[in-house]
Amino acid sequence: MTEPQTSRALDRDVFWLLVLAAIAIGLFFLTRNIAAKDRQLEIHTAATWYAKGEQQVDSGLTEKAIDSFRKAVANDRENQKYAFALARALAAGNHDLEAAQTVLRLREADPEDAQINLVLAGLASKRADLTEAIHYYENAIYGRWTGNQVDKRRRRARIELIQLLLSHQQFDRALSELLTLDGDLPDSAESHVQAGQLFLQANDPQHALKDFEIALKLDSHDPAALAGAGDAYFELGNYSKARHYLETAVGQGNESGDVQEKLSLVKLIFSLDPLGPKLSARERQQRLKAGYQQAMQHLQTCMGQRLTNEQTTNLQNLATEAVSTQPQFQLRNIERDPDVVRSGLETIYRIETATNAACGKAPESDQALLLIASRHDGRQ
Amino acid sequence: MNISLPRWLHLSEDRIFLALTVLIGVISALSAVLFTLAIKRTTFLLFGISPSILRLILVPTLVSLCTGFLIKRFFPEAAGSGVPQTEAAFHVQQGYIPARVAFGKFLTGALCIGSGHSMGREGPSVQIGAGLGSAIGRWFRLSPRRVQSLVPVAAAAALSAAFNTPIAAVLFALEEVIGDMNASLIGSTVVASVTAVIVERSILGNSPIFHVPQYHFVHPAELIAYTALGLVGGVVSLGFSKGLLKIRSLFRALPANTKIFQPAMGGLIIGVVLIFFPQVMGVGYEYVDQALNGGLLLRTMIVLCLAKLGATIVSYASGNAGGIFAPSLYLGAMTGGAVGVLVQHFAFFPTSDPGAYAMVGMGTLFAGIIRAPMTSVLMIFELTDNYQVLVPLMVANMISFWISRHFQPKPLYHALLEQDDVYLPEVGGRMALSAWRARDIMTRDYTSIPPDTSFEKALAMIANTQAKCFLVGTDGVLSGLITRAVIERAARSNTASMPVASSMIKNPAYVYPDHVIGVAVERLGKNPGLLPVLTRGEQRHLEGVITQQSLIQSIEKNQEATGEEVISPATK
Repeated sequence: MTEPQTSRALDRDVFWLLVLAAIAIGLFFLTRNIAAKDRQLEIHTAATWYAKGEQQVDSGLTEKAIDSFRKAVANDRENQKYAFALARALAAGNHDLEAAQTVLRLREADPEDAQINLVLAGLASKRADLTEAIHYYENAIYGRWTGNQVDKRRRRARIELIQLLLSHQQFDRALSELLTLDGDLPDSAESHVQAGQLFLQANDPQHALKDFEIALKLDSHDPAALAGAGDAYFELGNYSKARHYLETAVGQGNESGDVQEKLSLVKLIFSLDPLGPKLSARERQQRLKAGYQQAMQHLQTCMGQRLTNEQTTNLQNLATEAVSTQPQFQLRNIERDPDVVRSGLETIYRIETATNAACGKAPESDQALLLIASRHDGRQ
Repeated sequence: MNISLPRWLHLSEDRIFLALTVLIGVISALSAVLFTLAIKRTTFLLFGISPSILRLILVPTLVSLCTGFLIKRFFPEAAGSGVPQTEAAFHVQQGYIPARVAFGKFLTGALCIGSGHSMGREGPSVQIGAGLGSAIGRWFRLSPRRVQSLVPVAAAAALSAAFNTPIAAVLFALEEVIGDMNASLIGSTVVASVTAVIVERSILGNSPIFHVPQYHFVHPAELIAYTALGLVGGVVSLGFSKGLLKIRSLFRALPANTKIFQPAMGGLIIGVVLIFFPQVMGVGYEYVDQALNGGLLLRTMIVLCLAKLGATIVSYASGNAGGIFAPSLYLGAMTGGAVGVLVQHFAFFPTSDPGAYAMVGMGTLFAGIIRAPMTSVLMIFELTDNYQVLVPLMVANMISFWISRHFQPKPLYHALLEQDDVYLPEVGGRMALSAWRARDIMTRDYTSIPPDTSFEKALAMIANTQAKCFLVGTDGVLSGLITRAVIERAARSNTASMPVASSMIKNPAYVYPDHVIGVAVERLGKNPGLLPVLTRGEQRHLEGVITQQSLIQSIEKNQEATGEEVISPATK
């Protein structure tokens, strides 16, 4: 090939390279345009699937909803709303592992989002991972909330945390959260009743009573508030007030079995208490003897059950001791020294406590005796 | 072309090649992206959002009827994956891929995969890219060696864009297409692959195909579990490979006039499968993602693995256009996920989530089926962005690869090519005699007797030759073979005036110019001393003949020229 020929050949190559580059650029923009249109179609398809999924969630068709949300996510991976809906549906359908992984991915993009942290907390709570659950609940409570009713939703998250702590016997921590919740409650009887009930579960009847009283100020006929107040007074050992509130609650239509049971127990306390007001010495002696016999019977029944050697020995010693103290319950002794009744109640208390420890929860009348004994013994 | 350009713009072939490497990277990437979009749009158009049962059956059947016609009539090279065809083009046809192949593959591939066939888009992308690269190279009148070089370069670029895995794509081009990890083309493939991935990401974004949590290698004893996964993966790979080859051979054994309908037969079967298992439709990465995230139950994964295995075999074996990359990853994710669930239940040591096993399973099946173990390791790493599972991945991959190779020595792609009568040189054998092709040892010096020639005249025609066997044919078209003995016997009998066609061997053994010497020698033994060499794709068009003499002469000529022992003509 001569030089001009070579040159021409190379010129040709340069020309076609430029043409090819131009074609490549044109094709690039064409492809980008097509890809953008495809994206629009995907977004539209995703929205359709999402709407379908929402309907299925409302109809309780969790598995179908999961499928729909999956398709929504597959078509629009960038949309956090779809991924979050999928995660919630997965959690509702007990696909916990995948739900957690989906939400964790969302959390990577937005660690402050309260809703995301809340779902993670729920999942951790489900798998009994208390540390993780507390961590995510706290992130949720102090995180960024969007949408409507932010305060209400945040409060609900705190209540979920409190319930979790209570279920794991973390009373101190639960109380600290409860006190924060208490300062943040709206003026509604329902909120205060709920707080009061949580305080009761956290063994703080004093604060519980305060909330129930506020609730009753807001709605004096609220059966739940009345029952709660009765419960709180019961826990505080004020059985007359407890009886009053429990009876009022029943009168207001509270037909809860718990309320009925507690009211019956309170009534029993009043009918069995040998140190009740306006009782003659004979009546006191009769109540004390009846209580003593009831406790001894409970003790004998318990000893008939399968117990450890140590428990059997303890109960036998207690029985021997109790039998030796019985002669002191003479009328003249009671008339001469009112402390005889207290001493008798202490014996009953020891019997019931030991029997309960060995054989589990006692019948109602024994529970009443135990409460009477502990009340007068100052043990409450 | 008479355009005058400044002197600095005059380019050497090396520079043109470099410029083409970049441009082919861009164009291959665009073709891969367009192919992906075309599949998605086709699926949407054909199935809509919630297809009815009737639609699930009719769409793959009717579409496959069309693609069957297109493949049979216009694009016979478009059937199947595209990777073996690309390898064949590189090794056998010196990088020659007709431009229509790229177009045909795009069209039929988008229709087949879009109509629900259980096949992947990566193999077709590789063939489309390689076809474009080859055509562009020829358009620029590059030397055959350069055109050949552009095939793996373009293949790497296309795979890089299709999978968003630039490193694995380079490795795949070296390990699978070229078959030599030390190939000198590494620089060009890297340039094309990187260019392609930049283009792809600038259009589709930089999101990985799979969203996988960060799994960890929890306990050293887990390697036992991953070894078990390697074993199971090896068995599944083997089942897939053997099953595909067997079913494909059954389809191929059907009468030739059914060939056009075979894809539709496959389509009908797929339609029925889709009614019960819509999850096996098309590429199926959505479900792979679920398995990777631990979102599938044990029973679901086992059922989907079996359904996908069967569906992919039917789709591929019946002659539809689509690849097996994606199905192998799907099968791997399901197998791995199922093993992971079992391990989690029964292991006596702490274990990772089943998703980690699904991830390793993908590589395991890829290594077992595609037989590219290093590519599979890097591919899974790039697909999932997870470094933690590299060690288990390597362990499981190697075991699966070993089982698959032990029980199926011929790699699947090579075995598929051999079913099509295309033989690739063995790896490492390219410098030896085994790399010689029929075209290297054939001669064009042969006597051809027209079929209507009488035995009497034929005897006169061969009187001055020593050959014992002759071609029968006219104008370079083979009719058959006839031996000297038959001609002599007939010429002396009362059939002397009859045409030679009456006693010729009508269906003699033959080879194509790209057949390796081993096949030629084996087939030469079936004929009486003469083996016709025919043009591939053209009915009985003669290119030359191979005889024992031509074979010996070729070897002797080579020894004289080089003074060396036998070496391949490719090294000359």
